[in-house]
Amino acid sequence: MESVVRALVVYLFILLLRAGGKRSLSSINTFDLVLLLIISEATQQALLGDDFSLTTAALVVTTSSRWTGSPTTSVSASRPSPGSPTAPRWSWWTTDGF
Amino acid sequence: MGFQGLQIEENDRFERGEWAFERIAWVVMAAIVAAALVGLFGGLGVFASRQASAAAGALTVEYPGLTRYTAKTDLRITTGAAAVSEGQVALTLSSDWVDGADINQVIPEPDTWESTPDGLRLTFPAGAAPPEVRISYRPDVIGSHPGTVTVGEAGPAVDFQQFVYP
Repeated sequence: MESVVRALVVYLFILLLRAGGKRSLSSINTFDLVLLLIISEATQQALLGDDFSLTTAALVVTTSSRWTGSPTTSVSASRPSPGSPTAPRWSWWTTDGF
Repeated sequence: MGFQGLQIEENDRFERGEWAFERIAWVVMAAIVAAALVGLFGGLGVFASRQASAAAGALTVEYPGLTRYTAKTDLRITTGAAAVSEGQVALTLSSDWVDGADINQVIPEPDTWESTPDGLRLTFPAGAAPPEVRISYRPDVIGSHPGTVTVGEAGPAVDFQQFVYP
């Protein structure tokens, strides 16, 4: 249980960093890269606690991974492809693409 | 289906399969997280503290039923007046359990640590009251981790069974 809670808290905290604005990969400079390493170093202990088990690692990764659909063709010849996660019937779920 | 005007390679069948796979994966991920929150993968939760007792309250062992490899884990042993003999309480931890546990600390500090054919024998002073012992350890096996705590050599005994996730 703690693993999931830890991952959620760290995820929500990292989400705050987005308030600083998004950047595309091409506009990242050395400082951003160093900052990325510092963030990952600093959050490692908070995420994993003190055990080195596969189970903990898998739970932390599952909790903090992206839970929305991958970008796919949702419009084909101007019409939404039926069954696409981004087709209108799923638009409450994920809004990218529309 | 035609793909006029779109300058990308499309494989309708493959994409449809991918969407189905994604939805199934979301359900599986949600199930894993829910199971972890309930405590099915060790840590806090429904299996965090199980109890086994010997007759007449001489010995009670509190242990997590599910734990994880190398995770800090506690075993609590509560002894009763029936476990005291000559002002001392001797507890024997069976060798099958000791072999799979990396013991970090025993509180209170035992007077003696002794290796016996049955396992590890710890002797505690029981001057004021029968001791409550906490053994802090890290599991060193993966899978089933059974153990027995015995008072003295052949006193009241408690069997318990733990499962260690990799």
